[in-house]
Amino acid sequence: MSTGITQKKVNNHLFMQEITRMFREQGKKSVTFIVRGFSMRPFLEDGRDKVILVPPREPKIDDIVLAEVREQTYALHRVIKIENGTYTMRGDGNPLRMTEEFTYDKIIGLADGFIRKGKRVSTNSLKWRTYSAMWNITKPFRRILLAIYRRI
Amino acid sequence: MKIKEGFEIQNVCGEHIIVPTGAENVDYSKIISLNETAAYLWENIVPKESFTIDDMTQLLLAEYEVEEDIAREDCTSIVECWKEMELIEE
Repeated sequence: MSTGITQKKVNNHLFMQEITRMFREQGKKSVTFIVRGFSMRPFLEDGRDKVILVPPREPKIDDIVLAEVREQTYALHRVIKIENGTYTMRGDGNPLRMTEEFTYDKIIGLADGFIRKGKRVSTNSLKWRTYSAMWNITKPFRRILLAIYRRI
Repeated sequence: MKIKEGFEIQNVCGEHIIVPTGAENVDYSKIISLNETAAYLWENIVPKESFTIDDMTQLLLAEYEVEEDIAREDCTSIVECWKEMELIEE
């Protein structure tokens, strides 16, 4: 019998269904899981940080939303535009042109907070709001900032 | 001993996993996966007020063709492992 702690990767699509089931059928108010990928750098790091996800509601600009952006393809990114019931989001660490669009029915959940380097950061916290504001201000220099981040 | 409260066995993507589950939050960042046999044991001992290695051994013997000694050894090692993961209280 193998023991010990390893990270388990599960099929995304089935995992999303499981989250939805927890919200809809089990009435859970939040689900915590480890984030994968590099698109939300520099705040969230692949395999290290966690997101605390709450059930779908109307997103606002700067909300971090988990949605199905193409058939069985999911992204947890920042909402940057809302227009006629279509939401546009982009990963903080992604090129400016790389955006995804989705509608309300594609939302799996919204981030209520993160566990970054083991510390809880709520999306309501001053820390997160300051980070968001800073990240938006530095948009023209983002490529440079991310390049520096990748080296440190 | 007994299994602590606040854990739920789920079947996700064909795998038996134990997930820390509160009334409000489900934490998928600390899941524990079980194989068929471990899941069978877990499901049968969770409802018990308390259980012993003997109880677990009997459960294994009832379901699997296995020598009693080996069954007991396996049960002991899984209990060790679950204790280490803080799933069991005395």
